[in-house]
Amino acid sequence: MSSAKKKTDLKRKRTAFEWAIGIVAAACITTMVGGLVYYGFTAGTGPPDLAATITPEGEGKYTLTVTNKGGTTAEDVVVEVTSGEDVQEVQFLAVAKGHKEEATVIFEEAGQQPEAKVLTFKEP
Amino acid sequence: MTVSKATKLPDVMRGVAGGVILGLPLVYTQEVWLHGATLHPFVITLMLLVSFGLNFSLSKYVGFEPGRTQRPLEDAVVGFGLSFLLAATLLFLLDRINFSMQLENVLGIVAFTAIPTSLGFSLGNALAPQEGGTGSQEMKGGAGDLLAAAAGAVVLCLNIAPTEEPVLLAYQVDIVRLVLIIVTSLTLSYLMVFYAEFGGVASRTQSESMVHHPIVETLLAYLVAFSVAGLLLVAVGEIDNFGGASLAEAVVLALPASMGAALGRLLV
Repeated sequence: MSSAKKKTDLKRKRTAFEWAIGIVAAACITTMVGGLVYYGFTAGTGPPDLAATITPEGEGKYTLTVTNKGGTTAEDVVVEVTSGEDVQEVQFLAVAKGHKEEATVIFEEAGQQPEAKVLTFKEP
Repeated sequence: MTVSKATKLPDVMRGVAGGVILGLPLVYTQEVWLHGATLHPFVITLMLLVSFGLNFSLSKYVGFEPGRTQRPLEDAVVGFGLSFLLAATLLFLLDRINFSMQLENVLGIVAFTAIPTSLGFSLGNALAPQEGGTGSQEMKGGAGDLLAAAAGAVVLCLNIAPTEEPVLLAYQVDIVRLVLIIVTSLTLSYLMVFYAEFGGVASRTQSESMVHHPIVETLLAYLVAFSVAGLLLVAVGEIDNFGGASLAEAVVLALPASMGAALGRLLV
């Protein structure tokens, strides 16, 4: 392209549509990068802090919730749920920092309130 | 002396097409969801910086708009910024991000997914040759188009079908999102083939063949993509019955399949 044409093109006024998508795009970039930098400075650095709770849903079904309040994601999380003699293990691929994961556990014989505890996990 | 044309919606749609085709395989990858929430925000920011440099270079030589590479920085900003929106929309559609998640994790996952999406955006103009692929003139007609659609669908979703992700997504995505996935598959296919002004759009819209009517062709191509997705899932053993769960798996996989089908038709 000749330099004259390039110069002419650069002088061309932008249309309203070009301004609109430019502003939206710039706002997206600013938000994303700004947010990442903010969280980069404030991100937790501690190990995973996992807690498992179990809530009855009726008919032998229970919702198992694993919450990670730590500063690092936990991977390959294994939770043991016990109801009397009946023991079940539930595995989660990962529980991200500040996030929670849920699973449904079923005990065919309605017994006492089950208990849940985290058995193992890996740090990435 | 002529001044290059201004950016219009079809140009942006060409970038969206490129972004979807390159970005979708990563949207369907568990490790991307995981690492987006796991990596330190500074690491992701650094990756974004490198990615923006690549976008700038691609916008200088290819871009999402034919004949316009004079403003690479402006085009890189547009492609990069809109890719965040595109990636976030796809991730929300598949319930990989939602309002109950921590904002830090959402930003990480969207940013991580937006990297290939933005590179696809900047390559949008090179997605399909203006005059179709070599030898494509021998595949003209409705049957040729549907054959190309099937081939494109196979290419794009063959690396997704054998993985756990379609099953996982189908299990976790609710009925409203499944309907939205179908609507998105049809809408994006239509826009890519009939609105984004790739090569061959003029002959397509001028054709008197019933199969080439935009709505009919879009629906037929989706049917082909859906069938390819279902058959691939059966072939790899992910579907062994024909219940609602199997239908949901096919719908989830039909999204990338329909994008492949659209790309295949663009090459004919």
